[in-house]
Amino acid sequence: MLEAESGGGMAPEAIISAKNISHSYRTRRGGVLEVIRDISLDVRYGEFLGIVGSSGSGKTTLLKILAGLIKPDKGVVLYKNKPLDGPTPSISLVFQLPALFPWLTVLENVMLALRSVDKLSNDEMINRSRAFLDMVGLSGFESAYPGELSGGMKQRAVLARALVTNPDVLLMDEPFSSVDPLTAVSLRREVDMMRLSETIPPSSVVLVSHNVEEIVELSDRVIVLTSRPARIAGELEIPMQRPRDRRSGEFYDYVDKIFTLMS
Amino acid sequence: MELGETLLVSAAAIGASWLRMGIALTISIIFSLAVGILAGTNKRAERLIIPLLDILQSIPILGFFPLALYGFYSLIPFLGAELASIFLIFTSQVWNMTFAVYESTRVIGSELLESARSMRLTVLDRMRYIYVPASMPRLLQNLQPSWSNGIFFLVGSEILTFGRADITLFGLGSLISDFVEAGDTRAVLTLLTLLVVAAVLTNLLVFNPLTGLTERRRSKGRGQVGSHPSPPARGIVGWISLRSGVQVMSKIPHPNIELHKAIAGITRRVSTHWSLLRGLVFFALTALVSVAAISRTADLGQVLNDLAVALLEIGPLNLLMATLYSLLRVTAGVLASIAWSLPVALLIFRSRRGSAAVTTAFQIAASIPVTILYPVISSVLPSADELRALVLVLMATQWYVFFQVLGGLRNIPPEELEIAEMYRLSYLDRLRYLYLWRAMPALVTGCVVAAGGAWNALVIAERIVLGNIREEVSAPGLGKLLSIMVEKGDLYSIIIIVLVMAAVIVGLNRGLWKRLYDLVVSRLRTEDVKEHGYA
Repeated sequence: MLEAESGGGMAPEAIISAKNISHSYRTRRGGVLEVIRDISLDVRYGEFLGIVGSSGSGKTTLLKILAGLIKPDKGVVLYKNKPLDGPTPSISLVFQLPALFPWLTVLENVMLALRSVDKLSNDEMINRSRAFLDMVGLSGFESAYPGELSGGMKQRAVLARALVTNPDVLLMDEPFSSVDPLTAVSLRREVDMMRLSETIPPSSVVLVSHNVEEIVELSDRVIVLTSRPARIAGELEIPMQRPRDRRSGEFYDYVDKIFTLMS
Repeated sequence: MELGETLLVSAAAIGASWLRMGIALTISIIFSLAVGILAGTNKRAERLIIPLLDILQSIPILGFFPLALYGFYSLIPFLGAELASIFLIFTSQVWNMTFAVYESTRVIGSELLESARSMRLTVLDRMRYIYVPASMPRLLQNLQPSWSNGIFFLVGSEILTFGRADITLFGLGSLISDFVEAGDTRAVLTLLTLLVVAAVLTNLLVFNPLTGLTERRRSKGRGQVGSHPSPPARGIVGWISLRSGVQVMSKIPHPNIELHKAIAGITRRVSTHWSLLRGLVFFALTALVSVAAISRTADLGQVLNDLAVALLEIGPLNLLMATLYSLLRVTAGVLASIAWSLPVALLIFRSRRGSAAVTTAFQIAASIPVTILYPVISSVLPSADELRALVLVLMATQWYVFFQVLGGLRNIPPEELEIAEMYRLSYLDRLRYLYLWRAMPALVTGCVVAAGGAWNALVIAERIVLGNIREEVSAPGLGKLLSIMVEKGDLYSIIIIVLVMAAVIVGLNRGLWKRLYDLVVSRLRTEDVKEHGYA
């Protein structure tokens, strides 16, 4: 799949390409907080890209810039070689906290993502949403309200909502940090399995996390960020077999390498 | 009058009124701490105090006033009027503050109380190190709304007309009446301008710093039921509009939010009807005894008899019609408030600068006592008496609705806005799936407060007494009736009307508003944790 989609060129082609991104926030006291300094990166077709950095290093901001939610102060984001000028259904973002509208049922929450995608009839929207809820293991919970779900189930619902638009790229912002460790293990496994299935979009996944083991477990390639302001400290390919054994020596070599890059 | 003289007199009047309000506010702080902490820490006291406060706060303030005047006058003749005036202002300021203290004390973490017990802290030390500091943030937040509320009733509290007793205290309220009566438009405008300046300065120099004081010390979420999301990051907007605008608006809840939280809390644990009944009975008894004391009759039977006579004189049917008409006016006022507030709030809430500017402008407008504007309204709408009344009711209610709704919309968690953006929802979809849902609890709360304010304003709106001017609606109304009885000095009729009004307000609060609020919140409560957002 990776080779097939990479087109004719020598290097694997980028689906999203960020060029010289810089971004700052104004603080309450009128100061300027620089969060991202001159980052350029490519998200390649078909890859699972991990972005790792310490807490508060601007990872979330970077992800929102890649999603088109934040316009960077400097630099451009290209999606399929065209400038990205706002959110698009082709790029889905999963937030750190499972943000679902509490007054809508799980099904209605998922359907919300389809409302402005294409001209679907209500029945089609329902069917498609149900199918994706099935996929993430939430069949039977369609008419439940988010408040009635556990943290892990909410995150699954968010995943269904993110995938229901058939996005090319799935961006995930520490999606496993808000659930308990056991649920995180099974969620990670499912994301990993989903990647192996050919029928399910997306072609590329970007995972942002401060959890190095998590990144090594899932990523084909890792980009390491410095702490604030975030710059690229290094890059690493992880050509390990899946599913990856966290206790193997090879796994820990990669973890060590990343920690070295981070410090 | 010369302009200089007018300025001088106006400044002095504002000073006198400010002093009165300051004294009342100080007493309110002491009262709220004492009663609030008692109710928050003692279960038995709580069951008596909270329903009683709920009834007391729903009594139209101007209904207190003849009672207060009589009481203070017979106690201390030479200071009676002054004390009665301060007492009236006090009753317009104190309830929300007391509820704020009560709520704050009630939610102090048990681990804190247990460590206090293990350290064997005395009651005084517990007050000093636990209860008072825990109450401070929300008490301070409530000072400003209390102050505004006091201004609203200032005019009424300085011109004390009761039967033959006719006392005018020097101050803002009485001076305005004088100017209006004299038809001196320039003087009215001068006083108005000075008043706005004084109100803005007080906000900037006193209340904003006070509110900001506790900001730093407030820990996230712990012991803070109503912890608000941190104020939005600030751009380069004028500091005045910023400080008094968005900041105040997003942090300061309206008084009755406190009330509502407190009531919602207690009704969950205490059986509603019984506590309410107990409160009403207790209140009626207190009223009876104080009437007996004031009229210096020891015979309670006689008092009851007189009350019955008064009731027959007004006529039950008359009372019923007056109540219905007043209810209609209140409903119209609340609906009109919603009609303009919701669209305007929806229009400006996404823009930080727009919200700040509009908020500041409205806060200034809201600080003007509505009674001042009466001559203006009267000359614009000379023959439309109902419309005139509606405008007055609207002025007393609209701000509550508007600021509540704007606050509710501005507190929409950022990730929900981002989701709407990410899935490119149309404006109609955003309205339908996000904005209206988030605005709803605030809208209901705003309506509760607005309705309460409207009932209070009816006493002025249905019949205004300014100097020798008497303007009233031709249709019946409870406020009109009360105003007439106050002028007549008919103590027993006043008590009956006040009781009817209080019963209607309490009944609506419990029967309609609380249910509506619970209905709305039950759909939103499910994920309160999210309100804090993430870094």
